Amino acid sequence: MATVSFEHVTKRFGEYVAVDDFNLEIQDREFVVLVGPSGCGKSTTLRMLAGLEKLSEGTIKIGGRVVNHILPKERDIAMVFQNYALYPHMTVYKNMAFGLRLRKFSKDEIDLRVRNAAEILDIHDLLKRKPRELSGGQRQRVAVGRAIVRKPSVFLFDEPLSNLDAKLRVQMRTEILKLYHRLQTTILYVTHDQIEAMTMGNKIVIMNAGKTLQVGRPIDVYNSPDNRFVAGFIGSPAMNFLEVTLVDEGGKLYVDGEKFRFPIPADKAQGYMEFKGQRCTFGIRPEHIYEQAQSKGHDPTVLVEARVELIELVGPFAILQIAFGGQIVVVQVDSSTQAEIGKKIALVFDMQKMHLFSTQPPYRRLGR
Amino acid sequence: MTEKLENLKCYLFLFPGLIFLFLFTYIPIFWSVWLSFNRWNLLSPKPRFAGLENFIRLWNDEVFWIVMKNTFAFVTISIFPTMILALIFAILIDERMKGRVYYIYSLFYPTLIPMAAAAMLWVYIYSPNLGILNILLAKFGLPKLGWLGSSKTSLWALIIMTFWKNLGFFMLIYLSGLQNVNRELYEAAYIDGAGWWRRHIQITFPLIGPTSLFVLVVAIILTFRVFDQIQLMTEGGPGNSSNVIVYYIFENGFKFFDWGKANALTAILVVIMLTLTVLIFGIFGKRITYTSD
Repeated sequence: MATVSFEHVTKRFGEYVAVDDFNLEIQDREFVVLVGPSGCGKSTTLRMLAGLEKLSEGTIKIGGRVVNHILPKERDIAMVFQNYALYPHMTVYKNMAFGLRLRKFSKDEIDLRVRNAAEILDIHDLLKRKPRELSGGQRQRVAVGRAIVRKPSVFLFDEPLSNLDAKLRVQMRTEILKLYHRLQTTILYVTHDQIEAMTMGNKIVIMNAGKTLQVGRPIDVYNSPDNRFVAGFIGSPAMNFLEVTLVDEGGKLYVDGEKFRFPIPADKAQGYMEFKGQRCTFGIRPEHIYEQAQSKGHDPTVLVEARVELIELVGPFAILQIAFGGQIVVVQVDSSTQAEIGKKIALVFDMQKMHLFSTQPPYRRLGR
Repeated sequence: MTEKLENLKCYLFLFPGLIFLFLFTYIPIFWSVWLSFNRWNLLSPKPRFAGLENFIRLWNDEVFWIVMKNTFAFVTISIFPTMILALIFAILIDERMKGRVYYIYSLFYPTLIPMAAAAMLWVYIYSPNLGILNILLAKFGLPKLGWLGSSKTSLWALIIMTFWKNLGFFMLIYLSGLQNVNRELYEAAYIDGAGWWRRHIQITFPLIGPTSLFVLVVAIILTFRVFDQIQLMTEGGPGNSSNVIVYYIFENGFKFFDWGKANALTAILVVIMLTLTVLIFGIFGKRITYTSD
């Protein structure tokens, strides 16, 4: 059990800045997910915490103790690797016991801990097998087992599910969550999969190009993304962006694309007043555009007719690609949709859920 | 039918290679083994079957026993230090210490240069009065040695030189073997609390098994076959103090023109090498972890 804090942590590889002034406070027993595209510096950040990479600048503390120059084994952490990193020449039992043996635990204690962990992870009948005799999911469990036998104060996960097939990934996701609730320990989890991030973390950190873009609860990040990158990265399918101008007409505010003009609801408009006349990016999520036939009680003033280009039936819902405003807009509708490819469809834009972003880097969200 | 046809095609493609293999490897080996049971020398220039005569002569040949002792000494003394140091150098270089390329070049260089050039270089190094080795010994107040000129040191001098010549070759093989060991394993072990030595003892050594097996077999074959440096540096002397089996085969065949005896020696060498190879694969082959995933 421990807190973790990153203070102005920077990592450079030669000229390349992999992590740029990273700051983060992780509370005791918090499950924090670092998420971002490949090469955003999330794994490097995790590896610095593990002691596998040296810091170029800044300080990392675990449980209040500065660990910059402390060996990994003395940091009281355990890590689960992307490719499991199981020792191929050792049995599952020996893989799990390896760290304990090095720490000179008694044979009985090792046996107790290994069997206990095996019980929790339901791998007790695999203890005598070698890693190559295991399936991907089983290997993943052993890798987790190797981490939990040590009873560390912080768990580190480096994209642990990315090598599993989709079904297994969902299953392991819930198992790791169950484990977290059972062990009640601090976890730092790295992934490029925003769904993993949204579903697992108490707190998520969105990174891009070495920089932290937003830190917050998943739902807050989803509802109020700080900038255009976060808005586009979190949520699936991704948010739609349309270039517009904010126009004030008789005290009422509109987003004005060249081929459309939507009124902004009065309560929202106040926050945008100071930006009137400016070019900006209008953002709306696919799930906040409704098919008129399915919508109930939404503002009909933003009714739009547009041609359906493509329909992807996912099961519970369908994803439509619509030709609108001179580009393709993605809309998520109920699978009972009456949309047909090549035909027009009536859509309602839920302007209460709209976002506006600056057109200048770092593309911040405008208004409140 | 198609399967048979497919097989036939395979053999057809293999045929040219097989011809050469039979012509220049298998037939000469069997021919040589057959000749080892024949009397065939200057006095009887046509091979005549003589049973075990050549082997009995070898049994009673004092030099044969010296040669066998030297050969086994050469192999056992040179192989293990070569393997261990080659692996250690490979590990150090693999860990990307600074000047990696420089180390690879300087270690591999002896393997690249022709044996004749290397032999001349070492004749100079070993030279009693001008040689750099004795100059160094003198600097540290140690007595000068005869090296190639003394029956006490000649074999050792050749072993050292051969060690120098082969080290880079085996280092390179180990280096390629190390590339197959998953880096994450070292990181996992590092976090598990294993220090440098333990990481390599617990992870590198077991996982490099297939490479070690290959290196061991190749090293045995290479050292049993030493000839050039002996011909160039000592001619097996002084006395027979640095004479080894291949050089003794050469002496019997081309200096004493006792081809029957030379073939008997060849047969013995073939049997020894085959036995060793089979033994090594039998003992270690099954115990090795071949996957590193």
